[in-house]
Amino acid sequence: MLGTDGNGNDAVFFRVVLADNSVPRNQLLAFTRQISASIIAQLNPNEEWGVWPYFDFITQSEEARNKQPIWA
Amino acid sequence: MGYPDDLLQYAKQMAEAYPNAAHQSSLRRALSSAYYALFHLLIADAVAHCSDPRFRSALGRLFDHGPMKHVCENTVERIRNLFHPTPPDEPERTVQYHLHKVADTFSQAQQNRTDADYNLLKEWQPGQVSLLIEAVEDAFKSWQTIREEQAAKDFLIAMIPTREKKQGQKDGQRQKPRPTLADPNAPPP
Repeated sequence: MLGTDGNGNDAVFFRVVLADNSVPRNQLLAFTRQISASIIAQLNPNEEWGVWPYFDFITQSEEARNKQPIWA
Repeated sequence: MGYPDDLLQYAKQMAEAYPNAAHQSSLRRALSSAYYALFHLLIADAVAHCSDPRFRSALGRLFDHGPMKHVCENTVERIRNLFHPTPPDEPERTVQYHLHKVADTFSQAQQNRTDADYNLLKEWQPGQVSLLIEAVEDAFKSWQTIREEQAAKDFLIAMIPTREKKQGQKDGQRQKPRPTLADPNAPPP
């Protein structure tokens, strides 16, 4: 999603949904860093488009909970 | 344990306060505190060379979120270019690797803090927040590894606001309009 960040600069927001338990919990941070680095290496969003990339990682089950109405 | 460590500990406690419920106020406090932990960690080291605590306090107040993030973004880009196509030799490689981690985490954490404090449409989940706080904790470890290195000190010095830097940032924003994805060939406004 394209938008602006907290400083008002153009930004691109990546939301990556991970399959539950696809990666051992103690390896999850390193795994997400690899994904971010790979996306940046391939798209180069800052140099190509002038947008700073932000990443948000969430598991499938938590993503599903997000979609539920807040009163559920 | 210093204030930055206290804040990080508090962030972890808030993130884990309701492991089976997306308790929004706790998760938002956790994200905000984690960012401020890293913010104060860097400022504390930047002013540590000043012996008078009153001077340290006054100097610390000079640091501003936006310019610090600007330095982090420049650092992330510089190190990314430094590693391509060939990474530098050791020990510079390790130093730059950790510095990249600190700068990138600061940038991401500041945006998360903005969302946590102001974007009430965004709903946070415990596992998601726990991962973000783990990233800040990891950045703390990276900083401890490199804080005595010249590259780390240069990074902090670059964050010290000066009139010239502020003017340079304003000029840069005026002279370099950002392209839009909708029409990358459109003339600048």
